Amino acid sequence: MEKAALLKMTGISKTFPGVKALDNVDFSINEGEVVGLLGENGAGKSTLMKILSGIYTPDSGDIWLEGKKIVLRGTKHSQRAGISIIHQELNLLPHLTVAENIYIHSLPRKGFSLDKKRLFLDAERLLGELGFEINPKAIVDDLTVGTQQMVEIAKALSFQSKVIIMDEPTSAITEQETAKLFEIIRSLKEKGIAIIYISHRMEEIYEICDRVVVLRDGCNAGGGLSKELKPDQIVGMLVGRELTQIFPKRQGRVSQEVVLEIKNLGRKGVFENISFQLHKGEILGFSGLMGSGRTELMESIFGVEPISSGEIWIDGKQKKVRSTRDTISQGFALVPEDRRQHGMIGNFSVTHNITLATLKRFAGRFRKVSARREREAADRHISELRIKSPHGGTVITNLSGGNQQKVIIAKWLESKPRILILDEPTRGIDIGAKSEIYQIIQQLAAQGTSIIMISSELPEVIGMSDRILVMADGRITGEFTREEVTPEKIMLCATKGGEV
Amino acid sequence: MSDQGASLHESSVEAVKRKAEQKSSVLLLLLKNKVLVALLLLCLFFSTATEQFLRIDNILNIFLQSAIMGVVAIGMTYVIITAGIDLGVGSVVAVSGMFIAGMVQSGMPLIVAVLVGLLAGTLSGMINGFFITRCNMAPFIVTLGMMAAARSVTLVYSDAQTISVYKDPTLQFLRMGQIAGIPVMILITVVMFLAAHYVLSNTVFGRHVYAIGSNKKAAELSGINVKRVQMMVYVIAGTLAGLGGLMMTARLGSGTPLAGSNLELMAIAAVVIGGTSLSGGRGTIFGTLVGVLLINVLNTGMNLMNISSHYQGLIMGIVIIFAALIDSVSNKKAG
Repeated sequence: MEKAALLKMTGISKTFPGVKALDNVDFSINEGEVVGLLGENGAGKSTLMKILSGIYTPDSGDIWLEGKKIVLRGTKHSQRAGISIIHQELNLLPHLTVAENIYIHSLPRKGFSLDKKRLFLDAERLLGELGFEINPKAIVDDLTVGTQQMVEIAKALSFQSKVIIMDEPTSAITEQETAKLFEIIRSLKEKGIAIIYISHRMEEIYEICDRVVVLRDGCNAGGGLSKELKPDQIVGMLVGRELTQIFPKRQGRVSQEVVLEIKNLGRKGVFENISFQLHKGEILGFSGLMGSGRTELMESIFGVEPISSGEIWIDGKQKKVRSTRDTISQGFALVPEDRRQHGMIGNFSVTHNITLATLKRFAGRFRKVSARREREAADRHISELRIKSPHGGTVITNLSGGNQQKVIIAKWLESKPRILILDEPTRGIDIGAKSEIYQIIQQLAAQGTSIIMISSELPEVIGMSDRILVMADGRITGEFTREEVTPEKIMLCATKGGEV
Repeated sequence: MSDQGASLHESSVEAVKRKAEQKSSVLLLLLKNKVLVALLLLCLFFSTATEQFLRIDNILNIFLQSAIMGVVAIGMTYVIITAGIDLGVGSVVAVSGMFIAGMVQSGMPLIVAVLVGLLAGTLSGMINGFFITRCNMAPFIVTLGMMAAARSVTLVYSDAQTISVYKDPTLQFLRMGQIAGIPVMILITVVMFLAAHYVLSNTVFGRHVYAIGSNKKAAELSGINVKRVQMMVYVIAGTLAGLGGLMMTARLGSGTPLAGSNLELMAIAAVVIGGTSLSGGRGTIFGTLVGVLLINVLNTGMNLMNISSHYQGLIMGIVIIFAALIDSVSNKKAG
């Protein structure tokens, strides 16, 4: 039976200075439907969603909600109309309680003061209806990311939302939390709420979405019922070409030369008894669940956080690691997990980000940095890594996520590292850029760079690594070669450490 | 033939383009520096409203007034770009000025007195830097403490008395001397501005200052010695405050216990008017120069117009807020 669309967008166009972000895009969603919105970074997904949440006004096109044409003026207006967005970076006030966060838009008052009693009662009732086991009096900062996400969902529903947009909701939560999230989505579906689900993970799309809509270069690139589409058909729509194998073939051979040896490394309460070797030209994958201590271990090896026990041996010699300066001078490099907070200098240009770690090498007389040499180096990386940027002087925040990541990688390639640590190198990056980054990693390894790659995506860690270590609860719980590894073996070791 | 014609045509088109670009670059400079436009308008206003404004001695006076605030504001610019603040500089001007006056009066050679004065500034910066970088304390509270402590040291050292060194010939030269017709005091400030601009916009250190103010963690992860750079900016701010103290004592011909009161706040105002962001990562030395001049043009102009001192604070306050407003509005548009 054909239902009238709950929400319909027709002929949406939006131009930013120099970029046509959206060109005549159509989109619709029905009551109780989950629609996967797919597209590489820069394809126009977030622009479309920002129009829907009232942040941008379209240059042309109409939006219809429940058969009525509406014009969205600002985020509050959009929320009142019944459209909520849950951003990838959650928008909660960390030091307030769960209840306060849920009702921050309309806190109940008693005279001039906050009606705390009613606030907590309302929150408790709402959370109860949703079946969320969250204490409304808990401070948001103390909750896990997955629970915080549930608070965001409760907040969205406190607006009586009819449409909820979820922007990569699983990018920072554990497998269990993802399963829980999907349960919640299914129950919202039954209540007739429409969900626009943005994700790069194909398995999730198949598991949760009824239908997919694909955008490419600001235009509709196809779509259909997810059960009728094959993965390579979707990937074809995404990239505009059939992408048969995204993991490049391994070139070169791993040598037996040990460049880094970690012996019984520990940091109180975070990880313990970590020992492993890294060979020249090897890609060593680190798998495990969120919070298993992988990121913290790498931070300690890189000299960001102190260790409380153990030894670090570089080229067969024991080294004291006190700061990032020590390790960088030994040829280490680290591409951090959190690109925005830890990777890039937001108001620097692409060029200045690329030269940041090696700036001294560009300085001449009177410590003057040669702008010409900086530009040359940056231009070389921009063309080699195919960074899509108008020119090197463009501020890095104007680039798509994948291209920002390439800039961070370029920063470290400029330092010609011997040991490159990559922490979730392709998180939140579209498939096209992912495959390019995989090629870069393979090339580096073939040239003799030793690579440690942390990844939560099993296909990625299995497809890329020569050897895989699995961590759980701050300990190494498994080691596999490329030949013997299977997703099941990894998951078994990753969940060994007890409850998460 | 036709080839030549085409290239000739092309080159003439390019020449026209280039000219247009040159023209628009002046325009662009003005558009980008709205505060500079405000400064020019203010000068235009005062020069029509009063006869004395455009006289050479008045203009020199404005620059002289700007000299000490300018030197202090340079250090403040560095500190603020790293997302810090230094509330102590006004008191440090007083303490170093007083040390210099006291030692000159007690017969010590001027060079020793000056070195001690500058070192007092440097030391104050090191103390600020120590607590901020090693104890992870907030710059606001550390330098607020320095503000109170340094003022107190000044009062103890001088027993709250003015120490006159009016007759010292070298200090007199600093006060009244000229090189090529330009007062020494102004020359010192100009050299400081040029050097500060060079370091901030051309050197590795300058780039690190911006990087830290913009994203401290990313800077640390890129191998920048964040603590050392932070320490350096407070040492620079303190040392320049010491230099400000020397200039203050030379200018007044004495060390006075209340010298430099509120100077830190005026310097912060000048820096922010000049487009430096209090949240760090953004700002220029040129902007600070414009900010300092704007404040002093306004001060001098109001005096020339015989505006009651009771009203001057009100007008200054309004101008500071409007100047900062221009900046925040134009930034919003750019972002």
